[in-house]
Amino acid sequence: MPEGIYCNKQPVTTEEALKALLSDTRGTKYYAEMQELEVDREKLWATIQKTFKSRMQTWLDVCARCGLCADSCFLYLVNDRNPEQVPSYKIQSTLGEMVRRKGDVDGAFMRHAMEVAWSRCTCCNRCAQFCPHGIDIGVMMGYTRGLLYSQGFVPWELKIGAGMHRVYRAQMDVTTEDWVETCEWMAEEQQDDWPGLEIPIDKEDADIMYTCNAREPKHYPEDLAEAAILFHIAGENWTVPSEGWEQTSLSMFAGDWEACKLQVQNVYAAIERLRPKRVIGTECGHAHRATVVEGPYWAGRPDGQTPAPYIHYVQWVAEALREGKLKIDPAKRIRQPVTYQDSCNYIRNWGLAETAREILSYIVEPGYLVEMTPNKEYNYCCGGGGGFNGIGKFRPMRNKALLTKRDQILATGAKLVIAPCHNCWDAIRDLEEEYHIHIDWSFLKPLLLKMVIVPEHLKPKDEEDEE
Amino acid sequence: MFGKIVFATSGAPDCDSAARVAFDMAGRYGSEIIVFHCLGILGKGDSNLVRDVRTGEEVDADEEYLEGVREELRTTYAIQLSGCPKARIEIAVGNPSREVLRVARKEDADLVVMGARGQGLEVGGFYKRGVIGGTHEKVAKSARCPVLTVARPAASFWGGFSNIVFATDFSKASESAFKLAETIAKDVQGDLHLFHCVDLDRLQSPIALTQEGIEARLAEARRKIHVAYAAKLGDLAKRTTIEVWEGSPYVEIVKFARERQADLIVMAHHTRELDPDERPFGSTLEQVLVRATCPVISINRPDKLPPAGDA
Repeated sequence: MPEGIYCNKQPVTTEEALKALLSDTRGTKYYAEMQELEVDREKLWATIQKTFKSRMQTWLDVCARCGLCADSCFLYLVNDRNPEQVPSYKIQSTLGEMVRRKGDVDGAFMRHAMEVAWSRCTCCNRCAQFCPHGIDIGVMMGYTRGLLYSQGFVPWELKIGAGMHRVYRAQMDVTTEDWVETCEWMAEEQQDDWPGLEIPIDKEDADIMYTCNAREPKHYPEDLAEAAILFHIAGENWTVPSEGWEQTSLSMFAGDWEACKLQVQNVYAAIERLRPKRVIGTECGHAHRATVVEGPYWAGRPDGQTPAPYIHYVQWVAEALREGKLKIDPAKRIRQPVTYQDSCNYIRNWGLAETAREILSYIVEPGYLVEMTPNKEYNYCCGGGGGFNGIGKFRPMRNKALLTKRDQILATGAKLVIAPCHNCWDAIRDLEEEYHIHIDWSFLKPLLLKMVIVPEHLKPKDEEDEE
Repeated sequence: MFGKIVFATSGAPDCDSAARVAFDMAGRYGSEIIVFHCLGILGKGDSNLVRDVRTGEEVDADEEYLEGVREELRTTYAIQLSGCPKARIEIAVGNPSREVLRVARKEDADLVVMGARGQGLEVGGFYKRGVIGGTHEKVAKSARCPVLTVARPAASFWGGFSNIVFATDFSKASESAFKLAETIAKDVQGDLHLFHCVDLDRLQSPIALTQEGIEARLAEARRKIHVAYAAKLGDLAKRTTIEVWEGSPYVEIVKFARERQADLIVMAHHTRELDPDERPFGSTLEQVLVRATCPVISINRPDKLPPAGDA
């Protein structure tokens, strides 16, 4: 059977197809069909020839299989130093083979490669820091995912996720109407506590355009309300676009290059339409990577830049604290052992480690911050990055991967983990559910709201204080 | 009076008391009633898996399972549903407080009825009873319509409202609660008891805490009740009493309601601080509703007040 009904080489492009795929619980039929899915070898080789360029060719060639990357990989360490988990092995046995065999691989090979690409590598890029040749296996694994996706070998949830981006330009089924309605709902919900608070939609020439993660409007709309309150307190002139508000990219995790491009083009169009001075993204790591770091190249922007300066939420928070737009009540700073989860995508891969530390210097009472070991750009992945969190088929492997982060957190003795990244936040939530180590975890926004000093003129005035 | 009621339920026996009140009200007022159930995993807004209320197992929330849950709810409330022509069942996956608020907004509900509070209730570890910040706290704070809570079975055996206690802290939100109390009292031709408690815990200075100081506050509060509320009642004033006590508000409100044999307490939610460090025992409202022997209805905003009845 060359192509299945659920599992095939075609991307999901309609709402009906999405619903049909979703109705196949846990992708049971999807994975059964994948057993029969054939590889279009000619197309695979043609794709490789077109897209596999000198940088990756050089990396594969110069890789000496020296194994210095082994100990850098948390999945190698946590899986009892299984040699099959050595990063160089993982890439040579998948992408390396595909290239060397000129695409002449079969379905069994591709199914195995799928398992390696999505359950043995989170594309955290940590190993690249230890390779004497500077080979970045995370980047190559991301590319390998693209080849696998193009042949239909992709985990069920990510095929759906990429389809969501194609259909809704969001990782979840949030329509423009849903989004606008949620903004209005949240502004309305806050109006008593925050008179004058607005979530301005499609305001042109604002100082800030804010973009977020679809699960915020879909399931955690209070996150949007919190962002609005903090902008309100800081006195920012900001807006959200009615279209192009979704910053994340499950299509990047899936390796659906076309959907990646469609998604960021949507955001860039909003920037060009509304002309904000700059754009601020929410507390999400991969969203930053997708839309700020890689997006300009996907969209074919010649300067490799976003249409306006685009910063991560921690950069705005650090700036607001530094410039006094947000003032912290010293009495309300965190006074319990606390640690910080450095996200791969905006700390290791975008260099914001010190920015995050600057924030901590304002919100944590000196002496209470206990860093993980290792930390900053050398921190390990949360255990759920690169789509790993969301793939049911690989859940047991993911749960094992969480042990690294669990032990890092336990070693700090911290009771609270600050995790300004949706993926990290989820992974830490899940590790608490799985291993019960009695910790709390939080984004920055709710913590800031507990300790920020609210200027008198922003407080509600209608209350009569009886005492 | 309440055209559309959202009854939020765990589907478990701990919501039976609330169910009794919700369906009874729907029958009494000919209301449309939406039986709403939220599934999920505690602390997780988005998930393909949900925790089954009965088994505690994580299961796939696919259409087949969701239909099974709907069927389960239809069976559980079969008798009540058969008596309500305008009833339907809605379910959602997510965080309960958020999803209750979402459905209340989407349906433009006139009243939310909730249960699942009281005796340390935990259903499948999901409808967890937190001292603070629980589902009720969040719904009561943010809902635009009145929220009626029935926490104890004892609170649900009643023959309609006839004896209504309105407890006020003189806040703006209390004005909406007063209007609601007035409307209900007129509608059911019942008695209305206006009540305030001088919060001794908030009095710090030695002068304020002398008996003279306290009595002066009691007198002042009585005057305030006259001016702010009683004077506006018209004919209803004949069936209205005023009382001001001192102490801890939630204790005094519950005691007062018991003394007057109230069958409904009306008050505002009015809590800005949700920080558990600052309010370890929850808001006054939360404390009242887990202790009261009658349903408690709370409202914060004037938006969805029922129209003044036939008075």
